[in-house]
Amino acid sequence: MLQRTSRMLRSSFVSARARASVVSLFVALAALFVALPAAAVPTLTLSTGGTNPSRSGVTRDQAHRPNAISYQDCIDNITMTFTLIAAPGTFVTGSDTVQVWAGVGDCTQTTNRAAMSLGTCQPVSDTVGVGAAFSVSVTARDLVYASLGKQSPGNGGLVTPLTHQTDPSICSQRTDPAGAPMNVAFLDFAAGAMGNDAAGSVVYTAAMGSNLDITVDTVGPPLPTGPSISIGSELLKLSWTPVDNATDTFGFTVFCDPAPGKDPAVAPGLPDGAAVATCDASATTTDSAVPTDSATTVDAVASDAADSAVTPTDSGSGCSTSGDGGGGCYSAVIKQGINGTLIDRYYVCASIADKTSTQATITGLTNDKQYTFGVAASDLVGNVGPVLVFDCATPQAIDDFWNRYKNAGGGAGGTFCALEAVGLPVTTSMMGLACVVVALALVRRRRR
Amino acid sequence: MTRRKIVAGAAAAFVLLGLASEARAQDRSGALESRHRKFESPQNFAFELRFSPYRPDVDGDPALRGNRPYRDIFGSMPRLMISAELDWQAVRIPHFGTIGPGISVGYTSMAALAPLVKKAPDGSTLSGENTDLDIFPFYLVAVARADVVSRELNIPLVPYAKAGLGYALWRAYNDGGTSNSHGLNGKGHTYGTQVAFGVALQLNVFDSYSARNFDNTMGVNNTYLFWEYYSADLTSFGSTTALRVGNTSWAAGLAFEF
Repeated sequence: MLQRTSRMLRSSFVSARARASVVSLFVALAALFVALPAAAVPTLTLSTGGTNPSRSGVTRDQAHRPNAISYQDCIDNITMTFTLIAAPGTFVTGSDTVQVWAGVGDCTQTTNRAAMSLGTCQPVSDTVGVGAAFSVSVTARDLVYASLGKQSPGNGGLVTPLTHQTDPSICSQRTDPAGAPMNVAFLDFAAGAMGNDAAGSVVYTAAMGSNLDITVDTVGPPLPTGPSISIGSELLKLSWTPVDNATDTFGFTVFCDPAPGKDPAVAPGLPDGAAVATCDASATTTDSAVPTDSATTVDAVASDAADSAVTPTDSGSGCSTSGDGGGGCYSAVIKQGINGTLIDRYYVCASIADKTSTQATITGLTNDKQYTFGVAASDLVGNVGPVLVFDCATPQAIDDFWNRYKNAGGGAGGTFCALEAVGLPVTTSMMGLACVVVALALVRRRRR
Repeated sequence: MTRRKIVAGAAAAFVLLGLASEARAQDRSGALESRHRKFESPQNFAFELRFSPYRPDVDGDPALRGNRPYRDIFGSMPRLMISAELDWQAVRIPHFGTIGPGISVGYTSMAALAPLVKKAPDGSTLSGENTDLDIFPFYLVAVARADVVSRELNIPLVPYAKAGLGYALWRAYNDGGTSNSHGLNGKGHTYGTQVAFGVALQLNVFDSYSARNFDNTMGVNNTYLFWEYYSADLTSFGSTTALRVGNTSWAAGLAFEF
């Protein structure tokens, strides 16, 4: 009897423990469900603190459209880093990951992220774990690749490992000066039984609460035409005709070789390391000074079409000039820009932020020294289009009115002009004086 | 006795006052009517907006020994000078008009492509660079306007004359800034004499209603279209170190008396 009672008591005790365990388990699971009701799709927002996305490695002027990817951005392969904030309770740390996809199509559509349906969206970032605040980075070349409309590597939007684009030649593959507005989507891939979303859920896009304006624009505006050049003393005037309706044009960039005011010792050469084939400055001068421009060497491209009509006049220097205004000499550095190849910024001697501009005066030149020029239209993000190459030209001394007057024996000049105030043209002083006179007259009249 | 003196004094004062009143009345509508005609606001100033062909007499300098640097560079075509003149009609002389001082400020500029010192490789002799000469002529003159013709003879013409001193600032420059040659900058000043004779056509007669409104609203008594012949002999009184920027020419424009 005692033994039976003892067994029953033991049995009932074990059952109670088992039941308690089961109940505890259910309670715990229920609590988990209650605590993470929306774990399937984290709620993300772009952080509003600081510049977002931040850009690193940028060398171009970012005054206009800082979130666009320019050719220079692509060459620099800059990194854009987005800082996102996940709403508390909407994600599982260590479970949810985010990957950025981008393309010219609508990347919120699964079909555009699927290879089988010829989707054109591409993954452009590695996957990163979701946290309360976390960052995801995108490189310029990956975005440029995504703008090319190539077939998506995705499979219905599954997590797709990203193969980063490292070849700078990708930067030259776009041809449209207007650029490609990118559709950027942030996809959440949750692991585990809860919130498992193998296809990836769109948790953030550029259209959601921000105006990112991420455009890949790596092509400069079209080539201006009608180059002409006129000579001045220590200056040259270039003029050209802009292309009509070139809406992408923001201004013009002028390249000079040799670059006035810059140290020739640090002049960069051609990208491929070839010799810089520049018409030497001293070839047509009257002085016998030895050229000091290390960047300027003899014309080394004998097979060039421009050279075929050249009759060298100074075989000693090797400078090729035809004697017809310098039409036969050229700068290989500038000439490489004819097909849109980026010319090193060292050679930029003027930037004009006016799309209607048709001329530029390049000052600070040395008389009797030969210069070569190129002009290219540029857009808002600093892309430079194909370069319009000018004939070589040589600034010369001028015989202006004052020089001619003095040479004829005129004795005037040199008097200090008190009305030419520092920093003000004399016309301003005249206007000021006239205003004072009129004001005095009016005051006197009112007193009467 | 004393009362008689007082009455006599009062009578004399009354007579003098009456005479003075009569004189003032005559002044308004009689001999001095020309000073303030009916419906007129006070008139003390004249303003002229002037336009003139201008060709400075640079080449007349004997120091140039017959060379003509101005003509060689800028040609013989006169340039336009724009100027403004303000006169104070300080004194009105009955049956004549007004006389008073006047000052003027003007501006003219000439530009041309500068020749090259040596021919360019393509054979051209002109550069692409401008050579310019700016002149700012001033003068201070005595101005006499005989408006008696229009006021008393009702002929809407006002002959006038001016005489005084002239002064000009000038600057020669090119695209690189103020010119320099022989170590001297191309800027300076020249002075001399200024005389002018002209005639002004009063426009009030063409629309007296508008003229009266112009006076009532803006205080402009008379509007004129004028033409004058003038000589600005700016040689610094024959100095050999002066750029002769004077001119003898005609000027025309609009004038307003207020």
